Amino acid sequence: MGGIKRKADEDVKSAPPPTKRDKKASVATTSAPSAATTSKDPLEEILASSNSLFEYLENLPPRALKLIYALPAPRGPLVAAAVLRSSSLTDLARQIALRLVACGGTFKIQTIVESWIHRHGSRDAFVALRRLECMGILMPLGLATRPGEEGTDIDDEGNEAKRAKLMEMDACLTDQFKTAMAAYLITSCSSPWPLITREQIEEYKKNGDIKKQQDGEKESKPSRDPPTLKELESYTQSSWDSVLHFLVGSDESDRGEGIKEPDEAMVGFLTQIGLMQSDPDYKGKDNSRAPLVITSKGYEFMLRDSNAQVWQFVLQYLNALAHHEQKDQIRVEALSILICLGSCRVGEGYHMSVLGSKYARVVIKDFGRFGLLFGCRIAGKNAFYPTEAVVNLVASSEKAGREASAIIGQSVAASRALEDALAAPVPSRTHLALVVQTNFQVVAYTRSKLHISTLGLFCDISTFRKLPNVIFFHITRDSIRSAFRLGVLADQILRFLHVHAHPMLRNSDQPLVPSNVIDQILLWDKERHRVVMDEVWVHQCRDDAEFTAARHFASDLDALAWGAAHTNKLYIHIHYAEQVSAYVRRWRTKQAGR
Amino acid sequence: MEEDDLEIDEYQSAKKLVQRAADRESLLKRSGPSHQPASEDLNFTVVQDTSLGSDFSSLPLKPDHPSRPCWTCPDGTIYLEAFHDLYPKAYDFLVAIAEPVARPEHIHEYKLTPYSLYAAVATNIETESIVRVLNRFSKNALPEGVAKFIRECTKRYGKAKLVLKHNKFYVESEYASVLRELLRDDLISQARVAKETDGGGNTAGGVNNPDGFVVHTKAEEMEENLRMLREMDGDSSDDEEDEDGDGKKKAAAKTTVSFQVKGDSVEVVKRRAIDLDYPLMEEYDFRNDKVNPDVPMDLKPHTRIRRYQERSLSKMFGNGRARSGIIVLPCGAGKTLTGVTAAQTIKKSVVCLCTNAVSILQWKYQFQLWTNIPNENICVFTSDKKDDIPPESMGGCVLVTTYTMISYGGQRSDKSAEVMNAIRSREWGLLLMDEVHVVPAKMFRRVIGSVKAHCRLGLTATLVREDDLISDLNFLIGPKLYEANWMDLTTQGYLANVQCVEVWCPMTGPFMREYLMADNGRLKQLLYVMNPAKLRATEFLVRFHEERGDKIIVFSDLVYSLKLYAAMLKRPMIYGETSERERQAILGTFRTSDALRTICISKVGDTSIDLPEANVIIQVSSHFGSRRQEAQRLGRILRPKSYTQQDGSNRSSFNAFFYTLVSTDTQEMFYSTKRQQYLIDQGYTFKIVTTLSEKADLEAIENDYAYKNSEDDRKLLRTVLTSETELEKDQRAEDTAIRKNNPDGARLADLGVKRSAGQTMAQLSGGGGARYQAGPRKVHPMFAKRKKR
Repeated sequence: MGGIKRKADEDVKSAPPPTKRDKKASVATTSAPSAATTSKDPLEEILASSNSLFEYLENLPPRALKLIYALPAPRGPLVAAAVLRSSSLTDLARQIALRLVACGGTFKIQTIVESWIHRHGSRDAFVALRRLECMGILMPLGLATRPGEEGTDIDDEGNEAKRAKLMEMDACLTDQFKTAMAAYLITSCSSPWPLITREQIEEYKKNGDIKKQQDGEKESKPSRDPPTLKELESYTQSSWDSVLHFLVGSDESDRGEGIKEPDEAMVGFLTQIGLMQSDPDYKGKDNSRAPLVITSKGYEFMLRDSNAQVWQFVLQYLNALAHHEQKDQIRVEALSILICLGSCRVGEGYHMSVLGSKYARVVIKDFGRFGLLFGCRIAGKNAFYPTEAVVNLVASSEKAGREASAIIGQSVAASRALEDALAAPVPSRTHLALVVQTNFQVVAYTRSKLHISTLGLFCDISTFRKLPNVIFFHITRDSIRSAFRLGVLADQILRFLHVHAHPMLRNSDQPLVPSNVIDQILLWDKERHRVVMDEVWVHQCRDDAEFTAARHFASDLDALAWGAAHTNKLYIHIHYAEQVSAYVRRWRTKQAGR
Repeated sequence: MEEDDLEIDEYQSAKKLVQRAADRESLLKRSGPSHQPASEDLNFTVVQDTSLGSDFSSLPLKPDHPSRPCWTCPDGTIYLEAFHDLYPKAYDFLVAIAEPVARPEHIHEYKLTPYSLYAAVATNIETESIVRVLNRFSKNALPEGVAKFIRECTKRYGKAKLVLKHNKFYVESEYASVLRELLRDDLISQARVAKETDGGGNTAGGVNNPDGFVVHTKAEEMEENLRMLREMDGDSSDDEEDEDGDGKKKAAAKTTVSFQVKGDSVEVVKRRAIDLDYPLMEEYDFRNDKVNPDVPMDLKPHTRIRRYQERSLSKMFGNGRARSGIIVLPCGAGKTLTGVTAAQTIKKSVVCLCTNAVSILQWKYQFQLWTNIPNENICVFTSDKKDDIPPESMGGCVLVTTYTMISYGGQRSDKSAEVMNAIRSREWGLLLMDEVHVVPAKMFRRVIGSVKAHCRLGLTATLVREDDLISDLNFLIGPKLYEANWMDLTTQGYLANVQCVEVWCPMTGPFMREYLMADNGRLKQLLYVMNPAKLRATEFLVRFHEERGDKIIVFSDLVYSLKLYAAMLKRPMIYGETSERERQAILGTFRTSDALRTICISKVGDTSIDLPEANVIIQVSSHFGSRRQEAQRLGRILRPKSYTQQDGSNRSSFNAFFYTLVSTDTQEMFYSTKRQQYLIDQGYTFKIVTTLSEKADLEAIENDYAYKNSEDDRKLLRTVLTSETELEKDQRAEDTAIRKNNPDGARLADLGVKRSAGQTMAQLSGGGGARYQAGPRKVHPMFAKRKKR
């Protein structure tokens, strides 16, 4: 009996198809020689779950950070300054770091903890030191915990000795950070690369024309004027929208003008990072021709705000680099470029040639593909222009920090969006303000097809009423349930409704979403778990005696799902089907023989 | 019989008008796309065909749209932002011209219908002002189809009026051409009183014009009703042209022309006018009625009329004459006082119709409470009590009776026949109809045939029916003159702020098993009503609220279960067979004494039982998916309590509770959702409570409830299963009893929720709108890939 049971277990084990995640982990193991551990790379996993750029940096080994600080000026110093400003450091940590920079770089920890800081602040001081160590600002003190290690609290009673020992140590700035920070303070350079100046363009126009005449239209791509701010914005929007539209699979007609299908590399990337997959229901023979459909991870992605979406993309890109043999170098380049882009201003452009390394150019090109950068030819050379999306990526994660402030940030964004909408006679495509009414009506102030598609995930699409700048939906049980079936969570829906609530609601003391709607959505969510599906085998017994005997046997085996006495039917868990049917056969022969 | 002909004619005229209104409405639907540019046109129809909602995104938005509060869709739907600065003005305007569909907190939905426009015209709002003001409020350019629809609907309605003045009938119009067109009809011109016989009739400053029409200055509409138009027109400096045109029109509108028709051929004229599609609106110039005696009644000095009551009456008496129509006020908002004030304003004899004996007493009491009407001038006509109608020499009188008494077609007692003759032989100033939504059409016809009234006023809280008979009322009585906003009245403290709670009671195992196996609906219903979890929850709630000092009504439609619930709670009950005296005794104790805090009532208590003290309702069983019943029951506790704040802070705290107990996983869930729709559209929210029954289960054991453990449950189940026949008997007895006592109940007792298809007048009352239309579900393109093959 036990043997059979074990067999069943094995069946179960072999049953689930290898998921995407498994596959990925295995790939990671084959090409992850660096880092501390062996079989799986916990570092990569932690990195992959970072919520913002600076959280990502925190999770990096200090060694990698130091490499970034050491980049030649002005990039290294800019990164150092950005890190110092970021939410990764506490106020105290910033104080300590700056003071150390100004005072030569080395102090005894005891001095820092006891005389720099109020005596009740010693706990905070250790936190600050730990953070500084994490960010590669201080030389290793043994305070910081790396993934997989047990964190020890220095304030614990039992750690007196360790604490005393620590007090004797020196807090010493890393050379890289010290030099970078000093350089930053002295030069206070704000631009990571030399800008394209107007003179350059004008000069080129003068000379270029002559040159062109001489060369006779040899140039493959003509130069153009630098893009305007509006052009940059619409470029980002359209390239970003094209990705999102592709994700939700809106039809050609649904997409606004100017939005094209994303290029193949992008599509490949979308499947690679698991936002899309080829249709599992595809019945055709050639699997490669199966249509792509959005995954539940993709739905989650859709319901986030756009800053988070951009970060998710960048993060996935960084993760994908893990497979590259030169990953450390590329990653350092990519991170430094990201941070440096954060200190750029929208509308300023740079020549590709200012980038030192080959990797940097690859990274810049990739970012351009996401619509984070605008690439063009200016003054006869390839140039790139950072867009608002990438500049905000750094700025928002610098400011946002933890959850509480994140929510405020979002609401600010929403009200700003609406103010913009009110100011502009024709609201741009990006604004979304929701009013959820007690009668389950969702009123969405938007013109974007994308928002409508997103709302269509959980609203009843058969009864929408669309007006020029607003659309009316109803939330119904069916619509919410179909969203659940697609893998959307109740929590995601509610968060989406909250984040995009109409600013008018924020000014009043009423809840952003009526409580009865929230309750109902949660109830519908609960409803799903009320019914547990189980596979059973139905056995029709011949008579009462057989029914009694078989039921007895099955219930002893814990195999009985349900027995209906008045019809003499037994419902047996599918794994025990053979066993029970064998028993019934035996029982019948025994009866016949009697 | 001639009278019979007459009443049927009137009814058929109404039918004709309803049909015409429906035609007009469908015209709006069709005309929508045809006014779009060709490319849009295609798109539009495609969207309509697939029933995937409606796409009006191609409507041009005005550049300054944020400063305007409404969107107007080509299909006549109007959305209004309730948080907009212009909301109060826009609200007054939209209520006057459109039907409110849903009025939750932030965005309201209205719909233009032929009836609503008819009502607008009836209150002297001009076609062009409607179009102009609507355009001014609208964020998007007014779709041409809508403007056309408005013009089409109002072109003929209200252009000609039938005015009863100095006891002579005049056909009156602002436009001589309209009268000329009417006179082209032979029957009408025959009915016209020849000029010679006219004599002293038109001495009131009338001048005859070349056509022989009498020219009068127009009765000016009350300022209040038109203010919203003037204001919007007034503060517009952007189009001078309109202003001028308006000014001229105003000057021109000062005079009306009219001709007199013979009193005995009024009906013919009315019918012909309908055939000519100039339905005559009837107005009653009661101030100049010298023939019918006045009723000596005035409002007592302490009588205070609230603002919304005044508004509703100002719509009725807008131009100094009385118009027929319907006023919709929520239960508890003082419908009776509105009716009494209307009667008092006309001061002519009144027939006041109510649904049952209890409300007769209430009406009589209210007449005496608010006015100084002498006792002998108010009489009651019921099966028990038949007061003599005082002779005309004593002045007019107020007659309070039921629909059944008037419309009864069978053999009457001598006394009754005598009173009926008196009623028939008289001219009445006002026919006041309470709870007008419940009156079956047949009964209605008889009533109208029996009572010759110059003006008809219908009062109701819920102009909603599951069938489409409401539309007839528009023409049998008159347009809807006023509809109050429940939420506004709640905020202002005229209504109690009710917390609506839906309590989920899980079916206990054995009950669920029986429920699933039950093969007839009755038994299923009985099982989910008698669900022990529900019993416990009821007892829990009753105990809880009695301790708080609340007064509780337990409603159960099923008499069998009502008896059981009453027995469990040890509280008195009222149902169809309860005698009138016992009923009054129970209600009296409930009203006055703290000893009785809970009563159990069957559906007889849905309407017209006035229990101002009650503030908690526990509804254990109900009439399937009836939206009206839900609203009516809620109305029982809406009357403001002594502690209801009138300073606007009422919305912040609840002071009344409406519990609906629902057995989970049964049909009741479905019905309950349907029932709530009307109230949800009025802005109410239903809170769902799932944990209460668990708490009740614990309490049951602790405090020794009547049904506390599974042993009790089993006993209950056995009784329930064996008592099916008894149940049937009970229910039948209840139905007969109700049918005997009041027509309202008769409607309710006749089972079967009629579903209307297509063009329904449910739209009038919030029943309309796309949500109720079941169509083939279309897959969103987004999910199409997944479902492919």
